[in-house]
Amino acid sequence: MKMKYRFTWWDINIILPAAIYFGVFFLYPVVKILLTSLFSPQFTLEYYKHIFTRGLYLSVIWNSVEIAFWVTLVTLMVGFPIAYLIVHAPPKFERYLLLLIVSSLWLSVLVRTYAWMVLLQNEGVINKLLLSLGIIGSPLPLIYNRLGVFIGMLHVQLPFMVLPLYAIMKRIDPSLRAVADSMGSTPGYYFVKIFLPQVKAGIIAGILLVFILSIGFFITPALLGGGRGDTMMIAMLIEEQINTLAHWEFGTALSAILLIFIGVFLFIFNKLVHLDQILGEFS
Amino acid sequence: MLKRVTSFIVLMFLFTASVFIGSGCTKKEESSRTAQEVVICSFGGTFTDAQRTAYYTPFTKETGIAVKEAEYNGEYGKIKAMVRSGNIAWDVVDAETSALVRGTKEGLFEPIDYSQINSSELLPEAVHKYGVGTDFYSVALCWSNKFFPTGAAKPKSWKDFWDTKKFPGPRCLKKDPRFTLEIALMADGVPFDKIYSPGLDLDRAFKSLDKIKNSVKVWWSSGHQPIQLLSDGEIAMAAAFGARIWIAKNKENKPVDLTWNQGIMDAEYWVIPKGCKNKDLAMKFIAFASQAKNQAKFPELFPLGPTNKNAFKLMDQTLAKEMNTYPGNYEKHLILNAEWWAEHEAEVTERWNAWLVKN
Repeated sequence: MKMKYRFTWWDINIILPAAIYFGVFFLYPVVKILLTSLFSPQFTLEYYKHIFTRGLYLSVIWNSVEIAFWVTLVTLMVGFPIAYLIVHAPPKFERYLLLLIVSSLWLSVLVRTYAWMVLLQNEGVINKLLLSLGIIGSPLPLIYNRLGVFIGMLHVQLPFMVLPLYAIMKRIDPSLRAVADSMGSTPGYYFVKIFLPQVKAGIIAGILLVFILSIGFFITPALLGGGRGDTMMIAMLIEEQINTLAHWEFGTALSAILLIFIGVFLFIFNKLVHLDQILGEFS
Repeated sequence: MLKRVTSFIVLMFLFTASVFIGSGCTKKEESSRTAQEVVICSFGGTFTDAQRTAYYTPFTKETGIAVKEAEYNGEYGKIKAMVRSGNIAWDVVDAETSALVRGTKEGLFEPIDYSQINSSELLPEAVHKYGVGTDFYSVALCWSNKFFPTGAAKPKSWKDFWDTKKFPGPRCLKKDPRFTLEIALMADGVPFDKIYSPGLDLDRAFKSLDKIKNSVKVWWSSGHQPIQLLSDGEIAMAAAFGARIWIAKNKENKPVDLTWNQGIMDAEYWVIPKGCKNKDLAMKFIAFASQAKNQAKFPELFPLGPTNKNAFKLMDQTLAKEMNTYPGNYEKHLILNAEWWAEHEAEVTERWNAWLVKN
């Protein structure tokens, strides 16, 4: 039950500076981007028309969605057990494991992506190892394709899945396990009927974060994807328009479409999982 | 009531102040410059190390004007944003031809004062109303010796690049319609004088590219990518920056090689952003960097062909003979037609991306 909260002068004191900062540095630039795409300088929808009449842009947006979807799924499959492990580990290990996950965020994405190139290439560490052990006869194509992009992005996005999951899992009362056991439940039953529903919020937060980050990602797909058509992300096209060609009107139109798409995604996602209720649980 | 208002104002002030001080934008970049200083923006890395040794340091020594360096990756958008906002942080920019042509169209550069430069000494492509050529770079046919050991036949032309039976192995091309479309046409047998007249035959070029698409393992976007891939033996052949391959081969002893045959040449230009407050100093630097004696030093450090014809006479002759603009090598090259590209790059880029994406 939500209590009505009276806003006092003190609340305004605290919130207003942040609100102004948000308005100036986030809202205003986004509005400016939208305006740039609509006025050149007279009002025109030609750039948006262009995006929808050329198959290229919709293909690439769909491509980005596809890649983001698979990356999110894989990151969830890998991140969930890791978070579970960390939460149920002895306290000393818990701290080190957490540090391990978080420390990868301290390294630049570029450096980590290059490290993957060293590992995944035909002459790279992994292939050399497998070849010398006789497990494979010729090098596996682990890079410059979608697989390389998935591997690299999984590595980059993992902390963003593990940390929300960890935060939620930590809040679950461990004694519930003992109670369920004493009442005759199997470990499987406990996991599906008791543990999972409570972690739902964490799963949703993780999915949201990783999907939105992945769909706009640029560096890792650019370097590990080999510049191929099936690893082209919309962020690359936007970058080309803004930086190389300086067609700002068109580049901002592409950015606006991406923004609108994410907005629509959030709307649908909200309807499906009742985001507002889940986030409301925290108040 | 007064206490509340005061506390609010104080909080706002503290917050805003901390944001601005923390982000370091307390002064406009322009006004923080000392007198007698010129800011030169280039691509960084070993390339700019060479520029520093050949141009910046001697310039300061001769004129007493200090050189402050800035770095960028060729983003035309950055130059445009600078000129449009009126906050010109760079006095001289090393710009690619594409940026020069676009910028001239959009009025982003100051005209060059050719009274300070002996333009008859420069190769014709280097003399532009809004920019002075500083060097010529080539995109050349390169290969890895791991795939073609001594004794084996080496690829000599783009036709060979397209011949996957005679020269098997994964390839690497630039992820850019520029250069790559010309290469596709040359592989299809179009002679130099027919490539741009009347204009690039796009249908023919893309049909030609279809033949090689499956053999291209990587489409590179950063200059060092093909060099690293060739050196590591990940790919057999590439269209890459000739200068960098030359360095890898001769200075780093990597197992790579190249040919200037059918290379595509393009120039880089010194430009001055419009509205630059240090125009005179910028012009002085450009004049200095265009002199033969200074250009002669540059290729020793980074093997790019000088734009000043007299520079070759002042250089070590064995080195000079290897340069892409040396007579003999120069004629083997196709010169990139920047004007055609400026006209058509928007639609061609779109068609190029669509081609890359389709199966």
